[in-house]
Amino acid sequence: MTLPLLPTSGVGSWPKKKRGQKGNLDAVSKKETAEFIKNQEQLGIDILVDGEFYRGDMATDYGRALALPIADWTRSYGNRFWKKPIVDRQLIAKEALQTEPYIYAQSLTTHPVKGMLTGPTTLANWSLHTYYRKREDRVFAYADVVNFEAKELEKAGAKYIQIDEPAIGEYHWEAELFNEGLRRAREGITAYIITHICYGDFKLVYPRLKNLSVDQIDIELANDLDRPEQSELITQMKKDPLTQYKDVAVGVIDIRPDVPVEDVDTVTRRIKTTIDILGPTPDLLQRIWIKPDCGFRTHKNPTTAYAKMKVMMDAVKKVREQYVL
Amino acid sequence: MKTTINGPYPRIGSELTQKLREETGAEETHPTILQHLQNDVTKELVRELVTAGIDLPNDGLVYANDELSWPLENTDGITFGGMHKTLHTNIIHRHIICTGEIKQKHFINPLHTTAVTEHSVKLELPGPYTLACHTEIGKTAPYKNIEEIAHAYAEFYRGVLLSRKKEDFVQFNEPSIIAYKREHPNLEMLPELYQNMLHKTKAQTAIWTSSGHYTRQTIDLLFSLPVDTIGIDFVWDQNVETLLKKISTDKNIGFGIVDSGDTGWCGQDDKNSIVKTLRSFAGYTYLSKALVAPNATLEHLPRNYAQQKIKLLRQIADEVNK
Repeated sequence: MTLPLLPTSGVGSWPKKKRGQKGNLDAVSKKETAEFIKNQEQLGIDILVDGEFYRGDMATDYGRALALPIADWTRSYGNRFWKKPIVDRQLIAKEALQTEPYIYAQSLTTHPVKGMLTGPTTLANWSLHTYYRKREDRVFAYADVVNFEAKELEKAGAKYIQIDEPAIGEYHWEAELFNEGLRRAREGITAYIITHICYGDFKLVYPRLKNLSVDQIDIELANDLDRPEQSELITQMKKDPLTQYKDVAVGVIDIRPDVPVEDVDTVTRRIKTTIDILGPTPDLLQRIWIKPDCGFRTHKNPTTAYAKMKVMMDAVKKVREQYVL
Repeated sequence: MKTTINGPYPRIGSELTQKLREETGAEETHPTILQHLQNDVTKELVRELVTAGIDLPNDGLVYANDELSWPLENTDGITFGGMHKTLHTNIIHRHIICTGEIKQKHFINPLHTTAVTEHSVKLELPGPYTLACHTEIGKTAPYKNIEEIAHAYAEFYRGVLLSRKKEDFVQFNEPSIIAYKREHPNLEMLPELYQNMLHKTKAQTAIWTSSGHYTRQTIDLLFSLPVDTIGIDFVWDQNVETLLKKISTDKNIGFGIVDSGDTGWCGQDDKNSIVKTLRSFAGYTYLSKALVAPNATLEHLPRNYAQQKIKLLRQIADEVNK
């Protein structure tokens, strides 16, 4: 499939109706997935995501699939809580968690759909542990689990696999461990691998990104693009554009539910600023993808989420017209 | 030796805390109902802490969005940006951006909890140095560097401290002084910073550090500050024992020696080894005035695990006090 200039994609999650966190693809999830796939096609998005309607939590679902005990709620911030799996035994993956949702979503469209996984460092950090004492043992054990999942996705036909690693900013000094975890997770995989990172102090991690064993780095940038002169991250990007090393998917939409829908001019400006920083030459420009900062699961209803994605697509179309290679 | 905890206490795990969670996450929250629920949950948490044997409880920081940015909620000169991870953890705080002169508009008064609960609680604040390290100085801010903004925060806190009585206990959490693999800029500002902040204030004070390692210089610096108690992280730095035994001080030591689970490990602490370490300080500090605590917030753990940690703290203190 030939992608246009500035290919677009979502990051993963979409608002879902309130229900118990199940971590499985039930009838309601299937209906919501079908609707969301259609919405993305209507918007003209290039690489689709499945909306993650089946998902409970990024680490908890894996814990359940691995038959680990699940701890009671712990808080991340504000009113956000999650249940950490407790790794109390050796991790051995027997059944894939993510293949069924991928197969279902892909059956609904001819556009490529991403297979979605959680990365090994995030899984290790967002679990409690009583078995693996050393951090590298935790990360590598989970890397084997993620590799198993990735292989199953590839067997099922996934051409794009996203490995979410929002924990990249945690233990930021463990660059080699993080890299090795990702490398093991993608070992033997020929699909296009994306790693999505968010919620980080990216100026600490930016220098490491070029060495990651992935094809694309997916990074949130909307707020920094509004004040590029003040952003330390943008300063680093200007000095050493990541597009020299990898494809880069740039977040141009602030997904927080309390942030109003941006106007097209704002998002157009963000995209153009991105091009100035990361795509100053035609070959680097072709490595830029456009997406929202993150998934939309924190939204209570899909209306504003849809409006934000529409603004993004309108802005992308405007910029594409101005850049004819 | 007395027991205490640091940072927010798990606010989920009971029917009441579940109600608070639902109200906080509701489409339309009712401020009065929310306030009442926060008060009730605070009462419940403090009662739990005291019943389990915590001598110096905090109020669980139930009202706090996060441990770092909460005092700046209604402050002139401050806006909040996106979300940042707090140190090495998956606990998140709001990005603090200074856009103007920092002035107290309406400080959330945690001492309302004294009216709310039957027990006195310590007031816990993110320290001015740590706040400064986590603040982005915006273009319109009147401060040029981290030192100026730290002093602004210290001045902001003076207003809070001047109303405190000598029976009150105020703790400043300062992980940025030693946070592992992070910059610790301008540590030399700390003595003047704390002197200015605490000048003519009456409350008992503590500074608590965590999530990193200590050098002789940082230990000397910490123990030179005009506070009564210095909290030390023995979980991250098991060698700090040697450093501490080389200094001569009349300050109290806060032993952050029970594992809060901040690195993910939730296996059992070695109680006997902890008691042995604490007893070994008998010739070096007044153990009767010392505090024993988890090394960081117990919010890394679910409430049932946190309850076990508190029980353990009581057992440890009782053994040491024998």
